[in-house]
Amino acid sequence: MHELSGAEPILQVKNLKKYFHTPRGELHAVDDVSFEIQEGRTLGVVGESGCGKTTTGRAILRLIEPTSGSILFDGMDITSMDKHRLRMIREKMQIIFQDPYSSLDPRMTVSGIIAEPLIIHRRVSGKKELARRVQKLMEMVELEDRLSSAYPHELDGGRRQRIGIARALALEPKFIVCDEPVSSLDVSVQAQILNLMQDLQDQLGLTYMFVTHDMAVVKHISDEIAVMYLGQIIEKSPAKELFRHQYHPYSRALISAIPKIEAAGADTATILKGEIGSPIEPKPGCRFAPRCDYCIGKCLSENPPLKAVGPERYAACWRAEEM
Amino acid sequence: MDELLLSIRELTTQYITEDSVVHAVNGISLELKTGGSVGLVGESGAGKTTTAYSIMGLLPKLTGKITGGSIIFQGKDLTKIPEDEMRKIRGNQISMIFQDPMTSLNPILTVGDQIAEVLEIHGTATKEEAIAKAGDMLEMVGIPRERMHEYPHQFSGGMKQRVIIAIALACNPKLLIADEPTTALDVTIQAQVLRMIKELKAKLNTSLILISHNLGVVAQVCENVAIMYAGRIVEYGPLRQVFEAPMHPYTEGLLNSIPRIELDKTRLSPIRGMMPDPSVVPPGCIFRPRCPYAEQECAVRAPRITEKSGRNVMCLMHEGIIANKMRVDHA
Amino acid sequence: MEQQMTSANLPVSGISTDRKRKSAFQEFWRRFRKNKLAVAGLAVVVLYILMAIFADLFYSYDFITQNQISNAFAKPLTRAEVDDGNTTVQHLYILGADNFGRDILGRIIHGARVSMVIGFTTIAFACIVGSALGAIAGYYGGKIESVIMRGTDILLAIPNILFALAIVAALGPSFQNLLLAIGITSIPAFVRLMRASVLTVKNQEFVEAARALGARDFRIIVRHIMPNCMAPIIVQATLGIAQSILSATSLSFLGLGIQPPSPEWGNMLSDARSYISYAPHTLLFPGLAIMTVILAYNLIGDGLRDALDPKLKR
Repeated sequence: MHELSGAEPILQVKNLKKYFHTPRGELHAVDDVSFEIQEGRTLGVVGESGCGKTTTGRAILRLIEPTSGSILFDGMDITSMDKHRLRMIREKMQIIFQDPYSSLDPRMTVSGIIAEPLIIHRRVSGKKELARRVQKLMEMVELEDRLSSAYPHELDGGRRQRIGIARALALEPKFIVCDEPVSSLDVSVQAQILNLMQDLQDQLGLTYMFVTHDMAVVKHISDEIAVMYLGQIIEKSPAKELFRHQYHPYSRALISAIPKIEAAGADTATILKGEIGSPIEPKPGCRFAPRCDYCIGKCLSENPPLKAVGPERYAACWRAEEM
Repeated sequence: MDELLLSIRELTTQYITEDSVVHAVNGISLELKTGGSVGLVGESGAGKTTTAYSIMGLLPKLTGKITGGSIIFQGKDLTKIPEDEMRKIRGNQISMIFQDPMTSLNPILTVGDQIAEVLEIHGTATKEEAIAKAGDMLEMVGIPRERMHEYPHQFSGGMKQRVIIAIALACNPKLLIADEPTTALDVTIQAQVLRMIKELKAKLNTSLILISHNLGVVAQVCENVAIMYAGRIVEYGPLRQVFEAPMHPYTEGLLNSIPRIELDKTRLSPIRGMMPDPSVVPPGCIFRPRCPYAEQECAVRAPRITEKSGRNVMCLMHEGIIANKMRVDHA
Repeated sequence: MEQQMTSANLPVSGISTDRKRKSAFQEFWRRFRKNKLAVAGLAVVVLYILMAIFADLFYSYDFITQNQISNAFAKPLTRAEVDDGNTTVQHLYILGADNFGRDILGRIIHGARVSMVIGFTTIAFACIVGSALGAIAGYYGGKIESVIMRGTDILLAIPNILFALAIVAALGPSFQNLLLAIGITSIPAFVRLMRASVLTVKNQEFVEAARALGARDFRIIVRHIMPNCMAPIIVQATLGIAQSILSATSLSFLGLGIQPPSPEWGNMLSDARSYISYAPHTLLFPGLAIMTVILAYNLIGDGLRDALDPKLKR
């Protein structure tokens, strides 16, 4: 484990693994992932589809049962908690989903959706207080009062996502997994939601784990970024630094592949050969080796561990120093 | 090279249902030269896809209707020709690539057969020739010829999109319309596909209309860009100029609201409010409720297209009706 | 600046909530109403229900179960004397009389009561039991699901009539046993339908969101999953009523359902079939009653299917 200086981390994930049984063998969705997040900070987790970023987020909340590894939240190991204690801890850990269309029950009103966590956890003593709390939450996410008895399908994506955020905030959590919360939104609305999430973080001291495939968004919102490839973290770095220099060939290709507005017409992308490999029964050696231009003999036999390559910078590559 | 291939004049398309009329496209004009490329950029509901469907003659039969304007393609007005003539043009001279590579292919036919099919439909080849050509097309999009006997489910998303591009280009069309061709793909795969589209376009001298909500994608591929908002082209011009120095407040807002890799912004400046209801057309400028520069006049007077140094913009600030308060003036 | 203030307060697109919300039911009704056949079906069913409720106002039960042998096989619209216990009165046989001289229209009206009760109670029973089992099977999966689904498979493998016959034969031909028999045979359709809908709904993110909030399984199933699976269940229930009325008449026809002299469409047919060439009207009218009511329910079912299908929403 690498130590980060300063405050005690609010979340510590150690050697987290999630394997799924498939007819073709064991699928290594998340394969030995370790990281920690300091209170009040944002860890961005990026990667392409199938890299295990969403599974990691779900496993941390135990919405999916991890195969092995430990998850320490506020010092308590939640992997070994029983159902009852897990329900208690869920008040402190919440999730915001990608799709504001399917993540809200179409048959419930806006206020019903926001009130639900308060009712489940018996946080309020009467109807009046409930209404007051819901109103306050709606205010917090800048939802107009008059929408309280509307149904989700009557609202646009941005407002729906605000409902999802209000629901997640209802129990005053400390930590929120944000699973692609702006990916399905139009850019102008996306900016509104990102700003709102930043404001809420400042006001409430929230800690975010922000899962996304959008490199620009992750750079904007994160303090630290973990890049995942086929179930493993292959590079971890403070957000801004990652975009200045990459120690892992995959991060490098990923960042160069982003279509940039400034570089109009100039095609600067490093095109990777082939496509992402199969996460089912992965071969020994580096997962990225078959697509890597820097691949050497060692890469095919031994999987490189995530190790320090600079101040606060970690990469899982045998040739990281040469990059 | 400089010959005009497509000229859209005042195109108006509506979706008419029992209880409302949705004004999807409101009098847009656009020109495209042979070998040229234009990006249609805008948020959902801007009318990008409706424009494409209008050109292709693929509007939903019961509700969609072109209610005005013309689409002149190689001297023919596509809005006036009968369906069977349109069918000969579609897939042959104008091809379209759709967003979702997962559902655009027929799962029970081999990819080779699907490429060959379009050649047979347009009678440009016999069965044997078509199959041989299908192999060539696959190789052109970077897929080994041997894989033509495989089925779509044996291909990954990026590979499927390549197959779809091969189908679209099989008849060597004059115009290719790509509707969000890489939106469903991962970034690294997107880079592969975009580069391929660019290379093939240059090689075959195909004209391209690229529809995307992603400004970066359009910037990679297109020479010109049309910014669409609520069924109108609010700004049009050479892509680099438009993105570097936007003239319309919406373009500016769009550029300010996206997080950028190249810039270290701590805070985004979103466009306030949201898209107007397309079934209600208010007087004045459609962008006024969201515009930071709007004045009284904007509520009553609809802006017209103003041409300024080779660029078109639809805003009263550039008609000289109200003062131009945008930071940069490009007069 | 002033401009900005006012525009921020403007009603924004995409939410004319007041108008839309009030009409959640109206919207459904608007769509249902477009299907003229379904509306006709609904009218017929309402007519039968009213008939069933007010049956006693038209004809007394005693009257239509009492033999008037002298008037046997009276043709429709025949006027004849009937004995109502103490005196004789003139009576108009609108749809004629059966082999015992009983008024056919009266028996059809009272028979409607029996059919409606059978239809509603059996389906209510099957719907509740079947949906609950289906929801449990779909939500939990694994062993529980296997047990429930194999159980329904076995039920489905036995012909409905045969199964009902077995129950009625074992427990004796009574009204309750008839309800039980038909109710049980109607369960599998609901189990399979509910399970299938639950499987699609349970993977939606709002269910996961509820789990993330710490909601218990019971709450998730009852509050979130089942209400979102109701549309196909409602359609199935409507079609199921038709099916169960048909089953009841079939059983009665076979002499295992409602016992004479109680009026029931099935046993009316059964009694009449011996006289089909001599007095066809005794067979025709109960037959028509069965046909129209079954057709009406099926038309409503199709109409509901269209009106409740979210995919057809604009």
